[in-house]
Amino acid sequence: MLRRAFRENSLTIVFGAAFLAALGGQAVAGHALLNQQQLAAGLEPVSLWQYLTSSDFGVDVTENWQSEYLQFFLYIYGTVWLVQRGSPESKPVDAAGPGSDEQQRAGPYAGPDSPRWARLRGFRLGVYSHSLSLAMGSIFLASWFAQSITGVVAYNEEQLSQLEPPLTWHEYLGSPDFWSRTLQNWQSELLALVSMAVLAIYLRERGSPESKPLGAAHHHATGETG
Amino acid sequence: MAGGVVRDLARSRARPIIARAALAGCLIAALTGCGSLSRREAAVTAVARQFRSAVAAGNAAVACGLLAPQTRRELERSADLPCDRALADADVPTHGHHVDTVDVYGDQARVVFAGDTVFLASFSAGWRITAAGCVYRGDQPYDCVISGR
Repeated sequence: MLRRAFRENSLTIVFGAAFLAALGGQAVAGHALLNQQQLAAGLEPVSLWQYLTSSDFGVDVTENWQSEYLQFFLYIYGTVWLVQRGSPESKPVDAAGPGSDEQQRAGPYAGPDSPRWARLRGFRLGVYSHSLSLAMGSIFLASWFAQSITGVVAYNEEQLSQLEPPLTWHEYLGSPDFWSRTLQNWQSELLALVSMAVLAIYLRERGSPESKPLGAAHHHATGETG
Repeated sequence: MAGGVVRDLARSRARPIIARAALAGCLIAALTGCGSLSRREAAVTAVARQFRSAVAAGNAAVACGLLAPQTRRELERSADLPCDRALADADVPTHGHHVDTVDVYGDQARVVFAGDTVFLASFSAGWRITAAGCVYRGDQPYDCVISGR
């Protein structure tokens, strides 16, 4: 039973474990780097716990999280309307849009095993219709806000160590440090989206739901996976 | 069926309790954070004032003990004198105890007095002066009478 549970949830379990391992590795490497900088500046090294509760660690984590959730939000919501001929990441080119209730098995077309809010009408169906993008968008905004808070503290700590004046949070939102951190992450996420949409037109990975079947034509079979 | 109703009822009663507990936790964390910042600002201000008072009173031993190690080394190196004599010669401003601004970010701090500014860093022994007698220069680093740079 345990083996079956692992097999049926292996995607979540394996990538969840990999995330925790990578986060742990980032903590160890970041702690070592900070202490290198502390000693070079004539300051005392900090403990791992002090580093994990510092704004240095916080901003390095949240600047990456906000861009990942922005990527998912844009992709989930964007692919409702934007299409790419031949890509398994896209709907068929003549199917752009939210789809009818019948196509979505919503409202009166819902089945007995459909989620409860999919069987409703009005506000709750409307919210459920966008629940995935709302969740991704909310987590993006929350982590971007967290990046701004931890970022201004980390930035000002560096400023004071260099005998330079600190910035207010409002000033930091317009600073090169905030936008450099933000945009360096956004560009890589958007590049990944474009790469996936285009490369998957011509390249295949047998058995992956992210790939078209091996024998599918390049510029046809839009949205087909296998 | 009955078990499901009991379970749903238990969950519906638990939700407001869980929500209130989460809100209380957030408020406690926020207030604790605010209290911690106030304590750190008070500690930083106390050390900055203690340093200036010691320099004004000619109590070089106390003043030198409040310098960060690198700042003390740099003072002694540049003056080619032990700290107590180098500090007496350094002409660090000491008049005026009114504090305009206190900034604490991580392990770094700044105390802005009426005529000059003092920078501090946190060590295991407490806050220590990293630079004193500092004058604001806009986009450039402060120009300081003593510093570890």
